[in-house]
Parts: sequence; structure tokens; C-alpha cells
Amino acid sequence: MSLSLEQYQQQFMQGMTGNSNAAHLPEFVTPIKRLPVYQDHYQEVLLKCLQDCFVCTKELLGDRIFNELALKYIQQYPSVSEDLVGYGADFSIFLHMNITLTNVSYPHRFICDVAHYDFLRQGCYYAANHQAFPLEFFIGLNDEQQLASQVMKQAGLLLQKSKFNLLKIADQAVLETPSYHFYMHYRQEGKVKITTVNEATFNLLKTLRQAQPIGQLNEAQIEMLPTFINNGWLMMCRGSHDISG
Amino acid sequence: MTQPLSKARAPDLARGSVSGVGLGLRSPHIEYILKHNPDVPWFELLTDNWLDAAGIDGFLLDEVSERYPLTLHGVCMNVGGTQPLNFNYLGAVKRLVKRCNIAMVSDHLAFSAVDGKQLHGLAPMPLTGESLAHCILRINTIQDFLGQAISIENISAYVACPQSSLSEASFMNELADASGCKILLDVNNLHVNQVNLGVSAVDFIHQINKASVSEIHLGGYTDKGDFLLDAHNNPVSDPVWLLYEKAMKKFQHVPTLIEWDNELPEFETLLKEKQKAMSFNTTESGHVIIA
Repeated sequence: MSLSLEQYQQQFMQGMTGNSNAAHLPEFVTPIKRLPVYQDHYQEVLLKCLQDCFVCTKELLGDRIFNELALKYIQQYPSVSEDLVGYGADFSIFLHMNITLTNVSYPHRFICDVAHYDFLRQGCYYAANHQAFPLEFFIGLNDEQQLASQVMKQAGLLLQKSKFNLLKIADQAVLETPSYHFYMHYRQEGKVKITTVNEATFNLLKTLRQAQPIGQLNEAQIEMLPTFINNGWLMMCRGSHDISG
Repeated sequence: MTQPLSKARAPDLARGSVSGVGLGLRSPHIEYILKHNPDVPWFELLTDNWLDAAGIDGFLLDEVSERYPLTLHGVCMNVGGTQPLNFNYLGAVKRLVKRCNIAMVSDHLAFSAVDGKQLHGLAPMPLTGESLAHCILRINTIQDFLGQAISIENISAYVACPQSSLSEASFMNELADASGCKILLDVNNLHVNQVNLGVSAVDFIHQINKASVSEIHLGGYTDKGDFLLDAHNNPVSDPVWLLYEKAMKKFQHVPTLIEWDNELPEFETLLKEKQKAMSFNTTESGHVIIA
């Protein structure tokens, strides 16, 4: 039996992930007893990636439980990008489906929120640089042009809501509150920080995850924009006007 | 042409070339490098760690590239893969080349992704006519997109493909002839493959076309008992230094890189490895041979 190059590579990948469809692989790689070298490397790379990203989660779960869950995650969620920064995007949801209450001493939802916190913190660290809002240019536009201008939040601002106090993850008294706290992860002087914001700010920043013409915001949201601009939270999008600044 | 050792680091090298013995640039060493400006003629970046680098990482990258010639060495081009080339990835590589005035770009004779899933490693290609034709086409496309020739490295392997009809050296020679790519000769990988698969390292050195080799890599392995693991976590071993000595008799003017990626030592240890490699690159009067 001969395999095309494509078939060989598919068999190899299936062999790497322990897929039974790779039954013919021993005919095409030798010695097959060394295939675990590739399997182990694949697991080690992704496990390290998860360990480096989900620092607080690992601290709460302990190494043994974290590694067990991480290896299960790796089996079910293959890496689909050359860039490992985004690997683990679904880990919080995965934990939600796989942690049993008997395994850990923290509330189940708290662990999931901490995992999401960890992922956002890493995303914030690697986010694109801050872009200055061209305020002088914007002020020089007429009313119609200003309303047509598209704004969005900075790439390095990431949002999270939780019913737990995520400002004190190490606090042993973990209590779920009836209402949500709203958090913003941001980067300042090379460090990632987290702060609380009010619900209105959270919702507007959430809206501005995609570029929006200012004219499509409601009056209350437009009134918040000067504060957002002063705080450096907004950028003006290319194409909304000929931005020379 | 030779230069005295004290001027071995030559920031005025012609764009598009490096020479002498360079070192891999690893994040834990950057502070030392920027503080002490060590006498290293060039550094090699792991491409995939620096694509579109922003923030502090971006600042450090720009600082280093202002002071030292840089090359790129990646693992994600998927040169031998059968899924479409990732032009988002190649675009990021191209931006990095421009940002840092990169002298050389390299990747591997391997596949690293299948049907959208990444292996995060380098899997061996069957060395067949089909693979050769496929790789030539891929490399032509990559080089056209990047606007420059790339170098392709011989990988370390733990399994062989019985389907192979060509030797690795013949395959790489034909690949270089047909596509115009260069060959990055990893001498440590030759030794690892000799131990793991019984493929003669010396034969490879003899067979590979001299004119095609653009760079040599030297690294360390871990002995796992019944096989060697190309872990890049140790000094260059004695058998590899012997192979390197043989290689340098043939490839006198080819730049060499000391490749140490894991369990990083102090920077001074890398400088010692560099000095040892340079001892195979000197003329009798102690001058460094530079292309």
C-alpha cells in the first residue's frame, strides 16, 4: 500500500494524537516505537503554554489537577495557530464542563472566572500597542464629520465580568455576590493591571470592541466619550476620515 | 578576505549577509546584551516568537536590531505541508524582515501542520519525487512572496520513512538547484540522525553542494539511552565538534550559529561556545575567516 504525501501527513497527525485511523502508520514510519517522541513534544509544548498562561488557575487547582485537566484539554482542543498566544481560549469553558465540585476547594464558577482572568491578562500583555486618539484633528472636524467618525476601544483593554472579587484572587474567603463586578484589564508601563469599572463604562467599552460611528451611540454614551478619550481608552479608526495626525 | 579578531563583529556588513559565529537571541539574555554590547557578529531570532512584536518585547527587539545584524529561524512555514501556505503568517514574517533589516530567513525541510492543526514540531518528509516537486513549488511561492531566497534546514528525526527513494543530501541538493533556496546545515542534526537512524553524517557533508550552504547550526542534544533527543539544551558535544571540523574544511566561509534554546545557561557560556567554534574558523595566524 502506498500513501500520497497528503495521506502520509494525515496519518502522521492522527498517530500523533492517538487516533485509531492511523492504523497504517507503522507501514510508513519506522521505528514506530519512536512516535511517542513527537507525541510527547506536542503535549509538552501545549502543556507549557497552558501552564505559563493560566498561572492563577494552576495555583488554585494545584499542579496535579491542573495538569490532568490541561492534558485532557489538549486532546480535545488541538492547536490551530502557529501563534501559541491564543491557545487556551476555550480553557475556561472547558473547565466549566469538566471540574467536579469534589475535586477542588473553591467554587466551580470562581475557578472558571479565574481561568478567564488569566487568559485575558496574557492577551492584554501581547495586545497591539496603544494608538493615540487624534484629538486636535477630531476637534477640527465639523459636527457632521464628528458624528460620522468611527471609534473603538484600544486593543489592549480587555473586559470581564464576574460575581467574584477578582482583585483578590488569593483571598481564601471566596464569596459569590448576587450581582456582577465589572473589570477592565489594561497595560500600563509594560505591566498588565486590572481595575473595576461601572456597568455603563463596561457596556460602552463592550460596544466599542468593534468600530462604531459616534452618531450611532446614544446621548448618555456620547457624554462618556470625552472621559474615555482622556483616559486613552479609545482610538479613531482608519477610513473614518483622512487621519493625518 | 580576513580581518583581525578584534574587528570580527562588523556592523558595516553588506546588507543581506552575516559572517563569523553568531548566537541565538533568547529573551533572558537581552538585558545582558543591551547592557554589555558583547562582541557577537550577529544574532538569530526564533521567528515565531517575534512576529508583530509590540509593547516591551517590540521595544527590545528594535533596540537589538539597531545594534546587531539579525537573521530569522522559524518552524511554522510548513514548507513540506500539503495544506495551503499561511499567507497571514508569511506576511508577518515579511513585516519582521523589513522591521529588523533581516539578513537571512530560514525554516526546515519538514511539515508542521495538517488540516489546520499545528504539530508545534517538525515532522519528517518522505524523501520522494512527489515530496521534492511539492517542496520546490512551495519554496518558490514563499520566496516570491518574501522577495528573497530562504534557507532550508535538515531536521533531526526519530523515525524514517521507508517510502523514501532519495538520500537527504540528494533531496536537498535538488531542492536548492531547482528553487534557488539555500541550505542551512545543522551539524548536530546530522549526528543525531546518524545515531537514531544509521544515516552517515560524513556522507551527508561530502554529498551536499558547497555552493548551496548558507549557514551552519551547532547545538546540543540529550542522550535518552536508546536515542538522542535534539533538545538544544546542552553544549555542543565532542562528536559534533569533530563533524563541524570536517564541515568547516569544506564550508570555510559559511557563517555558523550556536543554537541553545532550552535550559539556557549564562550568556558567558554561549560566548565560550562561540569562541570554540571560531577556533575552527581561524587561519594559522589567528585571523577570522570572513566571507
